[in-house]
Amino acid sequence: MSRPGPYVWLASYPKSGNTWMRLLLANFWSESRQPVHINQIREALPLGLASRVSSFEKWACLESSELTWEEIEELRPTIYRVRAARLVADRVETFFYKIHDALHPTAGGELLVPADRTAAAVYLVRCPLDVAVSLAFYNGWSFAAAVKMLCDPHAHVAAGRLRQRLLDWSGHVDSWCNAPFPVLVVRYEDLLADAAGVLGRVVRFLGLGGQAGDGERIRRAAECADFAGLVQQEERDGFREAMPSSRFFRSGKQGEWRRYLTPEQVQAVSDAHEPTMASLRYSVS
Amino acid sequence: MWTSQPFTISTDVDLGAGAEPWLRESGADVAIRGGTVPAVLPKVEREGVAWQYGAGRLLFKQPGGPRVLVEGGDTVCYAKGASLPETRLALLGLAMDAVALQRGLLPMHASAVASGQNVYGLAGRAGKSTMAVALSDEYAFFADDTLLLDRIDPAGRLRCSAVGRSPKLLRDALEQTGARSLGSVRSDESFEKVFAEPSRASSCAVGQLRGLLVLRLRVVPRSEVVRLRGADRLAAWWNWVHRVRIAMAMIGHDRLLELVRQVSGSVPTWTVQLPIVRSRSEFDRTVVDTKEALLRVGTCAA
Repeated sequence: MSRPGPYVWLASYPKSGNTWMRLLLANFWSESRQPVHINQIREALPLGLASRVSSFEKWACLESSELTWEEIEELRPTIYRVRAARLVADRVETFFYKIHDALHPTAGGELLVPADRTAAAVYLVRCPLDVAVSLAFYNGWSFAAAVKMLCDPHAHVAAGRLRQRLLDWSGHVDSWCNAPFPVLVVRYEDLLADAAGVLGRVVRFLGLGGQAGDGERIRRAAECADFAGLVQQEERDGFREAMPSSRFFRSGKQGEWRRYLTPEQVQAVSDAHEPTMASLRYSVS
Repeated sequence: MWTSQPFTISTDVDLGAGAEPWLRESGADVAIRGGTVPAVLPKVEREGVAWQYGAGRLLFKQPGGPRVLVEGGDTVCYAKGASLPETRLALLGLAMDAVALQRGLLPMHASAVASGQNVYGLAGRAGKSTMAVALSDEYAFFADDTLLLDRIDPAGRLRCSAVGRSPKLLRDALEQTGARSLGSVRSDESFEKVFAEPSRASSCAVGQLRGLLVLRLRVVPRSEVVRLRGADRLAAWWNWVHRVRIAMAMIGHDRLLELVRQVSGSVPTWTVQLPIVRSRSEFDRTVVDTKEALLRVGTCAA
């Protein structure tokens, strides 16, 4: 793969498997045979969080809390460029960025992430009905509130981070699937079915492998990032990226919407997102 | 002990009540004036997202505010036309950091409280301004966001000071602390951050830095206090140099590191790992824990 820049964006709507993918990659990347701890992902993988306040302030040399969200958004593409220059100077070939923002232009017309500093993106997508259930449990919201957010073209999240504009769920998917750089779309449901197989696809897509023993590394990474193990780690040690009093790794199952969402809520999601859902093989039947 | 600030200021703009101890009508060390500010510097040695540095001059543009040029540690020129709140933020923020660096002072990203002239810094991303305001029932509020550190005097004391000391809090922190809002920090009155009134503010503009607490939010059931020594202490201080990338551009990495090494060596430094809180009662508990940590620091410093 040609690499115009070091960035690999790990993009997703919230609660769609982004953290799980980061852990899979961290375990693949890690030299250790021990599982990477959920609180040590960034120690194991060259990784930034695109909405991290401290990172924004370090690179902008500005206090984020004295700026409007629009001013911050306007500065973000430049910050990613400046940081990319530093990474290149430090000979960092691949740098992952977790991002929940939709891939939208800023008010100044520039794309939020600089395409000319981007190698590729891995876009994690999950059935929006299950996303609604997961969002509701994680944030302590009603299912109705979660469904409303998925259908809101002005939706955003912040919660201790820079504000991230999500658009509605379909808008989010479309924005990343039509990015001006290579994007591998990964379905959460495929991760559940065969994490090692999906990780292998990601590794090949990003050109990270190519060495003898890749298959063993991938198999080991999938074992180390087994979802049940992540649940245990969080129960035992907590997860520093999670909100207080919330469990980040809860069930991870597919199809829970059938148990929790009302027919009206399912219909609302279907009405708003049916074409995009169908294109990703999601169905309400 | 100390009666004067490390420098004085004359200005043609209202910098607010917090800057008054620093102001002089004439003969001041630093002049702040409105005037013509170039869009770019003719010679750029280093640059960042919103700033350029070259030939001893720092040029920056405060988003929503004015362009500002700082040179020689004695001259600050701002472009007129921006509203007063945004101009103040620029002048009392990055401009004062740059002046301090050019005058051999070290700007630390820390809030502070004081007991008399004994000052205790609060660094970290765990709500240092909120904590400083919450502590102001027992300690006097001393500094918000930036603490200017002087050289250590022959008696081994580290002088510190703060310009424009009104604390700035997010609106939900007003409820946590019970502090009263004194208005938005930006010209948009609906802006999320406001100036707040602490229970008690220090009457001293300068003091001796007796300890630094680095507040960290962690997934822990109770607050934990750990004293930092050696490389851990140096790393903690380096992390909290205010706008470290600009500081490195202005005075160089090696000189900055030497400054940090000198000042950090004289100040007991602790981390306070605070649990993430959701309720007012949980927050109050962390305030009590921080007061206990301050007592330990005070005992240690004495």
